[in-house]
Amino acid sequence: MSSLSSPKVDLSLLPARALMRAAHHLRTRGGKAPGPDRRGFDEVLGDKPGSPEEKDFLRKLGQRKGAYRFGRVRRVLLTDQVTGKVREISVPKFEDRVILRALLEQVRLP
Amino acid sequence: MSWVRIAHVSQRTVAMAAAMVAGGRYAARSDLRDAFASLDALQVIEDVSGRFLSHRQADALHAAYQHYGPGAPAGLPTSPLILDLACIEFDSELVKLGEKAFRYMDDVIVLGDDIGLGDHLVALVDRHLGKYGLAINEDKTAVYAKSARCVQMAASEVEVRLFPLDWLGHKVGPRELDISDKTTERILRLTEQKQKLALRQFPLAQDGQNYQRIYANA
Repeated sequence: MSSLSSPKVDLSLLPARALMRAAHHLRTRGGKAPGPDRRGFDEVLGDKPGSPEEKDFLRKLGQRKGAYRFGRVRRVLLTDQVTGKVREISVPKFEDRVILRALLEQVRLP
Repeated sequence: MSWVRIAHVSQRTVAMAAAMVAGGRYAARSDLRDAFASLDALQVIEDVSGRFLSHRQADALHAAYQHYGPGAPAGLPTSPLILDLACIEFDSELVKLGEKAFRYMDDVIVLGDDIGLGDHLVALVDRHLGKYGLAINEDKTAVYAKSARCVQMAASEVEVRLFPLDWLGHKVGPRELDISDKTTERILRLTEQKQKLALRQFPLAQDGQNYQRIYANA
């Protein structure tokens, strides 16, 4: 368990195909909110699947094997108009979202 | 057969729950207080590493939550997964409490013929989820009964109320399935275009009519 304390992520456990599927999921099924740098999804990953921006994004991500560190998040406060309750939502940068989504798809619960 | 961990809330899911409520005498409903903020994600990952997660997957998730913590912040794609991992043992015991059990994220319903369902549910949360920092939200915990007589006779530490119960934006009772009052209020505050989008979540027919049509004609 000693390796659990490592703050870096070994991205070799996520094949390029898994990263591509994760990016596609974010594009089509929610997850396009602007990241901490306020850049929009289409600006970073292009407006179509398989766009040059998306290919470039995934290529750069795939090259960072063994040395990836998660980035900062944008915190958004949402107020429920009926109950007045405030909820905090964390919006990570696109790279982190793709990695976490790809990890999520790898795990099979009993 | 019992159901736990509903991954997707669909018309069929809620209709199934309503049918079950109609069949059983009691339903215990509860949710976990500030589930994502209170969840000890690092402890969960360490506990399931090697069992439900490979060590490499656990390392990656540990690094993420060490960075993003404390808790399992809402908005991260993997936070619902961490909650599900925390609830694996809880779910397997939950289905034994009553005839049917449903859990969607931190929202739990157990259906059965035992008035003590609520007390058992509270004890189960303490036993299996307390170690991860999770606790029952007492304001939202109650046992629901079909008749006023059952409510009067009830000897339960958890409050006993009459149906219908609010669940996932629906009002569910033995002969009732409708959008809950709070959700209706939320939808009515939206713009017309957003109302139409919001109503797509509620395609269930009421008295042979579709919700979208009911609201469109209102």
